[in-house]
Amino acid sequence: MALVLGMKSELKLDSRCENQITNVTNRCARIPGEELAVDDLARKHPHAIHRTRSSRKYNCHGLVFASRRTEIWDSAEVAKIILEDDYVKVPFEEVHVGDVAVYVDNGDMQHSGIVVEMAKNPKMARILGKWGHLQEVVHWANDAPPEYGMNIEYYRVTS
Amino acid sequence: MNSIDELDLSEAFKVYAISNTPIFLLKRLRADPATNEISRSFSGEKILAALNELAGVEEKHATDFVRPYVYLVALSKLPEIGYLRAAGDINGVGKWDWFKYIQQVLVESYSPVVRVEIKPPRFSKYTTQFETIGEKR
Repeated sequence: MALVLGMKSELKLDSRCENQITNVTNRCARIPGEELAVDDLARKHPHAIHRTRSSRKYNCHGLVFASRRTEIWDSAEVAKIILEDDYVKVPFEEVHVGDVAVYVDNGDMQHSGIVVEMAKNPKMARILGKWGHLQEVVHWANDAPPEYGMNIEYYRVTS
Repeated sequence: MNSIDELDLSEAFKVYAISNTPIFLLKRLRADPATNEISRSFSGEKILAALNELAGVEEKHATDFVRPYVYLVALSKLPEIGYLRAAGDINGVGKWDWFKYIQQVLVESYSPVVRVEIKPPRFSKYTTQFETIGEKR
């Protein structure tokens, strides 16, 4: 039996407290210009590893909190995950590989990623993230598009 | 600028493409010169008519995907909230994922902006006055 999926839908995605996390899975094709934007960013960030091409199926929060299955676009939902999945905030001095980095601007969680490496001198996190609808990138914390800012909070699930 | 769709939205599209949340997009578009230019150059009726037209056609170019958001933010910079409210009632805006959300945020956070044009007094007038005073002395 063939499975027919809509172009957009919401996955059943619960927090540990069994509350649904609002999300959207977008199966629409890439839009014109996104691939050019991928190349443009690759040129601007030559020290980053650009892992993929563009995809509208998931965003950075979907990568970090939903295994690349869907897009979590509402900051309030990210905050809900952090609270209900028992994340604790970690001071920068104690960050290590596996922690989650969240770029925050006045409460808006505008970018997130997973720490994949910690440089020692100077201490700096290397992050696996995704830039909007564009590519997945492994980038140093200070080598993301400047629009994301540099106000980074780090979180860890400890139990 | 004669037509609303003549404006270059390539920078706005770059921001749209890296947006993970609608608030991020909204903040960046508020600071984008294109939204200021549109709110300065076009009336609420014209911007709303352009949005209506966009809702009924398929997007062809990259910038067509960010255009409705640019127009919406431009409406929020007008001194009258009615156009911003009306934008939420346009048929077909549901195809733009974050449109309704951003429209609601803009309505809730709306503060009227009144644009007052202040013209400096003409220099020649003062010159004449000074000359007159000087003559009296």
